[in-house]
Amino acid sequence: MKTTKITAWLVLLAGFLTVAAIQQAAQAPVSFKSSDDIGVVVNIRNDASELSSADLRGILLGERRFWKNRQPLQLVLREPGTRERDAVIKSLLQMNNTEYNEHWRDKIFRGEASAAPLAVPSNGMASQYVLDTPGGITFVAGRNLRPDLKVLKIDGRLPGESGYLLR
Amino acid sequence: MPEAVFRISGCRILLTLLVFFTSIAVTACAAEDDPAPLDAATAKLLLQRVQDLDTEVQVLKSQVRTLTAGQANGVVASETAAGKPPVLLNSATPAPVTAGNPASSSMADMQATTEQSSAPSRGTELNTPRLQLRGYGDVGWRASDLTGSTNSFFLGQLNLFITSRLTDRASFLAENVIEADPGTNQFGIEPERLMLIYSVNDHLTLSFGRYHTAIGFYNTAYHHSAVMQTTERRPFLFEFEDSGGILPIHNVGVSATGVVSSKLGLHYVAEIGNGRSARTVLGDNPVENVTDEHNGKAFNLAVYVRPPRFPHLQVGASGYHDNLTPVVLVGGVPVNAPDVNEDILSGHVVYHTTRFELLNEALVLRHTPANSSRTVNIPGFYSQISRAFGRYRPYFRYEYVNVPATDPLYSDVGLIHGPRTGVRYSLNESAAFKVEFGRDMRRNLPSVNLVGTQLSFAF
Repeated sequence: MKTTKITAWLVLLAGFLTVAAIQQAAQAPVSFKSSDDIGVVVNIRNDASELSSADLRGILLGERRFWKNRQPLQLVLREPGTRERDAVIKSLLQMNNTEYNEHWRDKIFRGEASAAPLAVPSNGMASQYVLDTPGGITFVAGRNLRPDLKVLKIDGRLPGESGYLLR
Repeated sequence: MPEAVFRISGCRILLTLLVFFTSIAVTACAAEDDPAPLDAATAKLLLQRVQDLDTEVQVLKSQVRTLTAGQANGVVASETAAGKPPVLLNSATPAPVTAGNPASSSMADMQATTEQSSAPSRGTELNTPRLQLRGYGDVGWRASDLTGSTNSFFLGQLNLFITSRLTDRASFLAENVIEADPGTNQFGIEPERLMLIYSVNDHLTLSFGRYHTAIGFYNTAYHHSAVMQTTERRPFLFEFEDSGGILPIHNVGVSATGVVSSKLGLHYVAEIGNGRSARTVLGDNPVENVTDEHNGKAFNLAVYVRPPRFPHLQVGASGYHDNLTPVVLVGGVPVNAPDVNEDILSGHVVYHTTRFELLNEALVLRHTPANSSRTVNIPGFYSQISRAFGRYRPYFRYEYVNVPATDPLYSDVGLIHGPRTGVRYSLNESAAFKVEFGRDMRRNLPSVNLVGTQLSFAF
């Protein structure tokens, strides 16, 4: 009798903890989806889970071209004038679109890159590209996030959390 | 009996647990399903979103109309100088999903909604090799008070710049320049760069073919496009070989580049190639495109730092070595003179933003004939500063090269030093007009005043 009661209480406690953990885990994506934060999104098969802001700068500038597993990195951006692009290059690189285009024009001319990052007109297309491309990476606002893509932490923070870089 | 009591108690407890978890689950579901009350701010955001989407739909519709018209004509539009990728339209096949093909993208979006699960890999389509062609050109007018010279309009270089991404890791680059020879007035075409590039990872990228030697900064930053560089003329130190330059600007061989430390921003360049032939007659093309004049190869090692904390700063150094075999005329017959050992040591500090530019480079060429222990040093440097004020960018440069009269290769160059100053006016992102004044002071020769204008453009 005593053993059964103890077991029951233990099961009850475990149940409490599990429910609490699930709710806690679900909190970040829920708050991201309702926020205006811009998430760094990669293919679900990408084994990366976090990038530093310096890594992200390197990716945007074309200095870093491979993932750690040696998979070529494929950056896709929205077209100039969209928040997902303008806010990112402004906050991470302190550049406007003219300066960013000039940077890539020069980089291609020096032979350091064969093409500028793809620029697509819709979030759907950017997401679809990343879904189809194992090394793909793009920037998506929370409300447009697809569930079949992976959101990376930046400097240890997920979008929606306080102190997140890309707001 | 006690067993029955235990069973009943256990069942009660399990029932209690079941009810408890069910109630939690129902509560959680209810919490998720219950719509939050729609406040004014959220409503405003949603309205804004609807308007944004409506605008986007209008834009996409107009692009679809453009696409339809383009398909009828089978237009192939090349990439613009601003870096927009090409629009490839083909009436025979569906338009590929490309970055610069918004119309086809919009169609892809529409398709994506209905066939997301069965859609073929659009990433693969986007990665299909595409040839991109850009062009650069310049025309101008120059005058000087050098005795015997005339003021002249001139055609500069017509540069057809081709890149093609072959795979995720491989690409092709060619820079084909058409220009007139000042001596003969005849046009010639030359592949100034022709490279097959293969990236293994961030630490190793191999290039095979003809490239610009990584001596200093200027040579690998500006290449053959006048619109990219601030000034009208290149620094004399980095003048092309066929225009009297003393450096091995081009090389044919293999180049390896990569990142040593991304935290420090430390990069390396290692090159091995044919090197250049010794200059015998001004106007000769000393780049050894097909045949090396000897079995020894030229090699160059360069390192530079672009610190992540100061992304506009670059500090670097390089060391280059080659043997050159000068040809001298003995009784009208060309004869090989003793080899000359050439070492070039260079260093640069560059700070470059879109508004401000400070370029400083210094180098020394060391020539040692094989039959002599005497080494001739040729020092050279230039400093250039400019600052953009809107569309205007005034600039100033001072340059210096001193070739001693005892140098076995370039003694005819002598000492040249002097200022260059001017203004660059950007007509738009793809075109610039420059006015430049300069004064060349030379050893044992009268100084020369220069004026030049240039209209440079990309297309």
